[in-house]
Amino acid sequence: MTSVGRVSVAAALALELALAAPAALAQPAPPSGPLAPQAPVPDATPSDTEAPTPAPPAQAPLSVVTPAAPQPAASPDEDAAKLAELLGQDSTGGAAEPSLKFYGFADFNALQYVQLSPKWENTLAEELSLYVGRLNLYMEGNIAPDWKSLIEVRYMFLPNGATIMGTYTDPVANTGRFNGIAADYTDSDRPIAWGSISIQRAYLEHNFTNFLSVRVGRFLTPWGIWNVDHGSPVIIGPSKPYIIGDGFFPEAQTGFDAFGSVAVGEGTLGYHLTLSNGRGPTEATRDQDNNKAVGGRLSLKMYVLGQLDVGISGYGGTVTDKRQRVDLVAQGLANFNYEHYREVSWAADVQWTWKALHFQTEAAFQDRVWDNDARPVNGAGLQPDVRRFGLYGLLAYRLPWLNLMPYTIVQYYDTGWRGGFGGFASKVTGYSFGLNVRLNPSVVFKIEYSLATFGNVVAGSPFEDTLHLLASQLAWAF
Amino acid sequence: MKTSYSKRLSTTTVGALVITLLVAIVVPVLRAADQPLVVIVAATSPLQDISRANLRRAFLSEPTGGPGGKMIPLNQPPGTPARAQFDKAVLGLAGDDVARFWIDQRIRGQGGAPRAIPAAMLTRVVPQLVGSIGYIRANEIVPGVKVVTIDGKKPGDPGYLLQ
Amino acid sequence: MRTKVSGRVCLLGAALAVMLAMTAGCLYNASERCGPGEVLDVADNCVCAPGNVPVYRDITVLMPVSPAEVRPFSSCKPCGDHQVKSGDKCVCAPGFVLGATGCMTSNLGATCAADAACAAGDQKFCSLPAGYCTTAGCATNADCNAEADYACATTATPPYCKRPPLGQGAACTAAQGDPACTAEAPLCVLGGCVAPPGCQTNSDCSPNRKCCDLTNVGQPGLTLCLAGACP
Repeated sequence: MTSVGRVSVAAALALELALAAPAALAQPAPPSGPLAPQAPVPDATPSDTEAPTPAPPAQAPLSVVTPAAPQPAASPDEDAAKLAELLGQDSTGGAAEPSLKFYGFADFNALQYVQLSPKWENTLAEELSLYVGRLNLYMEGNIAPDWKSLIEVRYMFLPNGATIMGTYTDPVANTGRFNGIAADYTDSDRPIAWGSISIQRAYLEHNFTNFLSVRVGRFLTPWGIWNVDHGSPVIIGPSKPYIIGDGFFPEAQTGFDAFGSVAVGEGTLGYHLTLSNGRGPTEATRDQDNNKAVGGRLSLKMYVLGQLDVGISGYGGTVTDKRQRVDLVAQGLANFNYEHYREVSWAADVQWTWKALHFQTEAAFQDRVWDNDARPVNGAGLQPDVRRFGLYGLLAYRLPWLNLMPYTIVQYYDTGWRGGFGGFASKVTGYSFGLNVRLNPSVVFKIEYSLATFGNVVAGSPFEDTLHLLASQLAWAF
Repeated sequence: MKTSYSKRLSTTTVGALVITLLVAIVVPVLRAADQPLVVIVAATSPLQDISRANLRRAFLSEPTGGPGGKMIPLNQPPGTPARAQFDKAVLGLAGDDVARFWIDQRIRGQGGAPRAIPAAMLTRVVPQLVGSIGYIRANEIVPGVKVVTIDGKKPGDPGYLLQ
Repeated sequence: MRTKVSGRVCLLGAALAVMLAMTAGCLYNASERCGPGEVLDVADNCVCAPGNVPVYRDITVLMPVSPAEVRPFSSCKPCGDHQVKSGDKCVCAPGFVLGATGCMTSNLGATCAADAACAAGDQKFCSLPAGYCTTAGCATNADCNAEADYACATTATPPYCKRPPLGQGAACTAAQGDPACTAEAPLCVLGGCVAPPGCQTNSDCSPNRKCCDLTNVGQPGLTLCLAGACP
């Protein structure tokens, strides 16, 4: 090579490399450049939930737009297929077969009461128990544009082994537990334990406008934070706060849910209006009193010092337990209301996320008023009217190391009557301290220590003593 | 003597040209990421400008409203620099937070992330899909799509969101 | 657009306010948590207040699952005049009997000269010549007031509930002539007035007494109507 040649080559290289060096040094090359043929990408929702490659650092602003690299030749068939997929059509322009997605979550738990006082030892087990808690499968169908179906089923080991009350009168004949063992005809009639399913959600949803969508079917009651979060990988602790677990609002309803949202400045104002069978012994399949329950929620999401969500929820309805009795006069059967009460619930919630700080709180109260000729038996008497109130506050902070998030929960619950705790206490105050570790976006480990003290206690009952509970959970989404 | 010099010159020149040509192709690829992101809609869309709040709502699958009616957001594939930059700037999510957020949304029953398609296909789909909105690098603009400003700002303006 | 948004927001707020106004404070009454006549017990259950008995619901339980099963009641009602609670029922207080209009004072043993003097009470028959109100038409002692120790005089015409000897059982000290004892129960034995000796069987005594032969206690041939076990 002559000196001229060397210089020309060197100059060309130097010029181009000088332009390319900052970009080349600043980021890895994209996984597939425009030169490589683009394979059609299916609906990317599953991969959206995979951990992405690290984001590049901020780019220096440019005032000159350099020309794009030459694009590969467009494939009309490929584009048409992708467009059809986005429009929910098949290749002929007709409605495509609905797509169905399966996903879900599950959790594995270890739970133990610790430091049980002698009075609690005969009531609660002190042994460490390991169990698969929830195993929920979602089946989401995008039936047509603006139409969606969502079905969620929980698979359970129950009812096998579930405690049956009142069998202590003959512990020889009765184990005190539900016997869910059957002879497996595929295995020489060897015993096998059977479980069951619980249908959590099953609804069809249609989006009319930006402001209005409607769900029909069985849906989770849209109240507060915890009930909407629902799944164990999402919620921060392994156990529900009392006001959530004790059903101030029904966990799910069967009926209609109209909802939508509207932009309000930087924020979003959302609403839900529900109409359903309400609560009752057969609410999922039959309304026993022809009196529908009404509920609603108003929420506001604001971007103020991070993200701030506030909401209020309401619900009202009647609960009826209709039974049959023998009518000796008419010599036949007659229906009667064994139990009938009206209920009203109100709740407020706040969730604030600012950088690594997370705070959420919910407060609720509920009134239940029975008809005088339809109070169920309770203890030596009858069920009184009840007003109950409860709240919890959760404070958490996501540390920059190992995705550790220590948290604490303080909660208070007044059941309004001693029957709330078997006739021995009516109030409880709880304190929990835990750690939430997101091992990866799909797997979360939690460990929590809780203690509960009771109020308005009957002297001499176990509720005079504090309860201590150690719970850990490994939850995963799939 | 003259012949061997000519031969060497030709070889050298050819080599320089080849290198230049290669670099001219490769460098724009490497430089693409330097380009700001731009939000695009179909050229026939009435949408001229979008607020950051509405852009965030669109890509969180929340209702938006405004000219252009209901929007169909189209993402770039996860893991791409454009996607990462967009998620960070618009949604405030980075790294594992993105996947974590959409997993949580799915478990709540609130749907998944908007559909993702590569940038090259996106520029061909957006003109045909009424209401669609996506984002590409500034140097990937092709006929048939239109760039909308964000809060009245265009690429290069001070404070532009997707610089 | 801005007007539309404001309108929707206002509509939502109004709907929620109406819901709140309709339901807040009109359902639960802290001072009336149970039905009428009921109070809360120590376990916060509704039970009948003192002096009230349950009004059971019209539910027929053919085969109770547990003998301790509590029957549901719909409310509690207070016991009436001259009534006391006995278990889950109202009964007439001692000294009262159930009449057509409720519990009333009994005229059993009241002085009379003829049936007309007894007509206003629960005992319609005037036993003569003794001259006291009682009941006629009994068949056995069970038809008479056992608490008052009346026996059915089946040999009389008509049979009637005969009172025990006047003064029988009154406390006394003097074996004879004690002022507490009467002509019908003149003897004082074991601290109480007794009828004259000579009974042959228990039916010769009032229902709450037995005919006792005192030969074993050094009184050969002496039989008396005594309360409790024979010595």
